[in-house]
Amino acid sequence: MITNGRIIPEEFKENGIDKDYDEVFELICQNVKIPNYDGRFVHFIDENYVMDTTKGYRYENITPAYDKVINYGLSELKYDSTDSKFKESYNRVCDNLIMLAGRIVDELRVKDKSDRRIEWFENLADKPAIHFEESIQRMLFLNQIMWQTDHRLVGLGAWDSFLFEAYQKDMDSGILDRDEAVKIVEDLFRVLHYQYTFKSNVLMGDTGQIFVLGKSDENGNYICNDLTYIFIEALKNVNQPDPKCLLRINKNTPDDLIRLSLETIATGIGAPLLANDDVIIPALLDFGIDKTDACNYATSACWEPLIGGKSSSNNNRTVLNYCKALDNLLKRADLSRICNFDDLVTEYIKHLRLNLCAVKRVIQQHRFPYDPLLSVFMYGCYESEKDVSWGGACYCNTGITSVGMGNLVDSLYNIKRLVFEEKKYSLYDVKRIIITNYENENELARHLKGTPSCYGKDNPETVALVKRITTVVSEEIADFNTYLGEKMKVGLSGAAYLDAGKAFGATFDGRYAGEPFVVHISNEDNNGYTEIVNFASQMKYDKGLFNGNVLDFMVSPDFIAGNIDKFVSFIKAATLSGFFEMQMNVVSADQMIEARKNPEAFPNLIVRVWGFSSYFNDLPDEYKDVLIERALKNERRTA
Amino acid sequence: MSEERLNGILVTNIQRMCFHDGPGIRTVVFLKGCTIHCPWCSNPENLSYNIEKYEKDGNTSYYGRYYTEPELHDELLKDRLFWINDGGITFSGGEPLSHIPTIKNLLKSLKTEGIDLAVETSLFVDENMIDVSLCFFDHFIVDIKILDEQICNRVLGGDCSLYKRNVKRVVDSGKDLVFRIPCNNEYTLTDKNSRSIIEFLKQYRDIPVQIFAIHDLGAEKYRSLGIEMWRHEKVKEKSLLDFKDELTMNGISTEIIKL
Ligand code: SF4
Repeated sequence: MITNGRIIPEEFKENGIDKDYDEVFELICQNVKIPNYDGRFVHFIDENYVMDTTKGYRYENITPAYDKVINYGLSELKYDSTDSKFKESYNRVCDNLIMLAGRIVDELRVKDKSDRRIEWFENLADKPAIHFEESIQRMLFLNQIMWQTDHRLVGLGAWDSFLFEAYQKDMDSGILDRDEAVKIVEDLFRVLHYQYTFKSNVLMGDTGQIFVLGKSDENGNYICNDLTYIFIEALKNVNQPDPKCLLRINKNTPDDLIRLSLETIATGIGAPLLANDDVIIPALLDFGIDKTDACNYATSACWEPLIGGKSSSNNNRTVLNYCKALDNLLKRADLSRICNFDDLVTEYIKHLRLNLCAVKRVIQQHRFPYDPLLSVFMYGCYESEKDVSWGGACYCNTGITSVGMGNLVDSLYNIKRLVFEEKKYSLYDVKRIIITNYENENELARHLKGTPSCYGKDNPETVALVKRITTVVSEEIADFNTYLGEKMKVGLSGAAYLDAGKAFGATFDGRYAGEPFVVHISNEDNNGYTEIVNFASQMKYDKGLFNGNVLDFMVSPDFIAGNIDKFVSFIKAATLSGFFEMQMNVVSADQMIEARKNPEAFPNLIVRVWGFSSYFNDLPDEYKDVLIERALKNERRTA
Repeated sequence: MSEERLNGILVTNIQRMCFHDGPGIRTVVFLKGCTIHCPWCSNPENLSYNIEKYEKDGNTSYYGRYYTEPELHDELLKDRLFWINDGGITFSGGEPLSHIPTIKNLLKSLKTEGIDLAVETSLFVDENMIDVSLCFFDHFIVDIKILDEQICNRVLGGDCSLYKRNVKRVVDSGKDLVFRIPCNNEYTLTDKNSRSIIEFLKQYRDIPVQIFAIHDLGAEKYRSLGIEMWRHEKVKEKSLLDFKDELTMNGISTEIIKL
């Protein structure tokens, strides 16, 4: 049977009805095809034998507890007795994984009895991993089975921390040297990149495979190790869009690590994304996350913070479109009662609250499927004897992203100027213009588009306006509980700027119906990156407002590479200033214009989209156009 | 004369996060009005000491805005956090030193707050402006353009001997100084002028020199003002390299920069 273009094996059903989870999982471990794998690691996904979770909401954007698979043999994870349905399923998952490991051992033996990976897979049943490569192999094993069971956007997390002990031991005993470790990590990246097409979600490159490197301890000290550097070096050497990398930094991050990251970013691969622990950890604590856990945060596929291995949070449940409430206001409110800018904002906020109620109602309906595999690799489930779908994980809060804040702010300021100050238009005119998509008003649309954007300016008025709006959001989500009794969070960045824009009418910033919304926290009219960093640093990120808040810069090639010392100072100061997260797209408009015309000449041009990197040629044309337009603006040129 | 104009500081632009205009990360403020007129000027909006109306894409706008001193002070300090180790404010223009009377108090308060101050200047200003500026600026970025008295006067409208005296004054003060040469085939890189520059610089061998090819980045602004832009030959990479070699051979430490 074919669902959404995928083949669903007939044996996953009985009389047309889906078999239960335990049976399907067993079938998968019994039957997945093990390819002839010559590389350093065994890693495969049998794309024709993937569990089908397409009917309901599935767990995606999740990072399982990779440390469990290194520190324990699979049988050591099991319950001693199975006196409940959950425990039975849980133990069956462990047994079936052992069976799959055994099948891999058999395959390897047939080919070469002396293959050292045989021992790695034998040990997986009942012993912790000992060596560096062996540990990586185990984590890859868990990763592949997550994909095989249709968990999309499988996060990777803090592998530099998890692997360090084994790395250190192998280095001390002389069986590993640093150069070899770099090669091993490069191979790891290649293996993860393999089956890139299958792993990509909505867009090519959107795989959710993100390493989260570096961290802070509870006293604010910065923790990194040799592997933190090695992972970033390998990323630079391999030069491919996937896997991705996020580097956590704080005010004590060593300069040479920032420099290495900037050199990597300057190659154009769009990674690592930088996340500021000094802002994120306090926001997590405010949300009620335990201090040790907060210090160990990872992120969902792009950038939404969660606690890797402890959090079954789905952080991208839906999208809040900030322009929606203004649209509703213009179409439904009694405009004659809105006499000034303050009235307008007050009325906007009323509509925003209504909008958020609708969002909450939608999320309240979401239910997640029974998922014993994820439960085995999610702290809290074993202890509570509950599946993730019953709230077993330590954290199971939910998250939404947002789009349109930039368009909203500019629309509001344009109304302020043209309606209330210059009195050139009435609110009824604005309503007409929006509804008719600038019919006979193309000149106005051009003027509004050409007006420098206010969003991201660090003047007190703009900062206060955005804070006023986000405070309303935090108030509205404060009383929300999921069906599992957990809270909700929201962020100022979201991947839907193009898709949400396609389905939305015109806005009063010169944006025609169907055109994209502003990308994350960005403003190509900015007066230097410092301005938008200052803006972002004045935003509130506590009270649930921490679900990814990414500053997104277009940077001309050579700008970083030619000024690396000054850029290191910039990042350090920006960290102190208090940005949340930052990503950079290092590419020139000309390069992209050429690549659009002549793709064969640019097979390896990598760009940053949402929270991931992709080959430029793999992107749909509308994404290419957004990037070209932003780059042109950044270079102070017009199309 | 309006009060704004009497007390205000006329600014065309404030550009933050600049990397090429002094140490560290800098905020550059462009003051409107220049004492000379270089044919290759890429900031034509900074020549006149008055606000100028311009049209772009059918919209009318103005070059120049009067700031009160406290207003400009706050605006310039927005990036203060980015100047942890080095970095600060650079005054440019136009000719910023010709604005000393209106910016003197501002400079004083910035200096009192310990802000690092730089100036990009052509030094075609009265000597007493130099004396005042030496009290406030930590770094001088000084242009070298045309050194022949007559050509300088005819083309730039400047007094070359005044310029040379001012250079000496700044050098003698011991302030941090870098020379910058805008290179073009028509005036600054002619055989005669480049020889004169080398001769001139021989007395200042300790001072680093930056050279750059002039560019057309001001084209849009010329268009908006309805002024025809000076047409010039493209400066070849090789000419820059040759000039750099010559300077270096004469013991003058030289770097090619891109602006
Ligand atoms: S000194 Fe500078 S601002 Fe004045 S005309 Fe020459 S290039 Fe233009």
